[in-house]
Amino acid sequence: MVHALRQIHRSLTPDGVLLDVHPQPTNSRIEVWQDRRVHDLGEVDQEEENREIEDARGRLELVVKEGLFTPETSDYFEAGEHHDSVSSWQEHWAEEEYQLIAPAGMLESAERLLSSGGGELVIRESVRATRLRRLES
Amino acid sequence: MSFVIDPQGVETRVINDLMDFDGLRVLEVGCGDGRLTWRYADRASSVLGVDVNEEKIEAAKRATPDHLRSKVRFEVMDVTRTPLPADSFDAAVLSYSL
Repeated sequence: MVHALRQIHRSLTPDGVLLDVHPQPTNSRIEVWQDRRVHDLGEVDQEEENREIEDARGRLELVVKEGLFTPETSDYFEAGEHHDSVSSWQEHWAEEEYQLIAPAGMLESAERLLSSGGGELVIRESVRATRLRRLES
Repeated sequence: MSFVIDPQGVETRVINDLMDFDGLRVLEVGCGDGRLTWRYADRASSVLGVDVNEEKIEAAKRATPDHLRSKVRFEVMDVTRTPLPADSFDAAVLSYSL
């Protein structure tokens, strides 16, 4: 995958820029939003994905060390995934090939809240976006 | 299944604040179904979105709005195996990939 970053470097014009958008290596928070009330159901276990994100960061740091890119600025934000049901969340994550490891009772609690009071199931994920400038190698 | 990602447009604001896409030729690696592409493509001069997942690329092609068809294209590509043309893009976007 470092090879891919070197390929990207080659494909960019001399003063080209790279925007890296990656989730933070932290677990997502799961909430149910009903009117103005937020029910915090805790976090899902994303240990494997978090390790992959750390690896991706390491690859980016390597090409920075190699002098191919230099980081210019970063910003952090929270991306929200809003589902109308637990099954929507499960199907979407299955499609994306994300592992859904929820603590005992979380899915049942979400189902119960949504079926009794409606609202949305919200997955809150922290994301980092970094702009890097291409350097001559 | 019904869901919306980033309904408040936070991601759109952040990436467009970090990068001025106006008139740029953009390569997006790991574009998937184009979810991120639509957040900046209006401003770019052209976009090539690539992903190894054929189904996602087909979905991106189907989802391409008419007004973007002349400047956005999607291809199944593994950039670790297929050489990219040199000096061809002003910007690259890595969306949740590598």
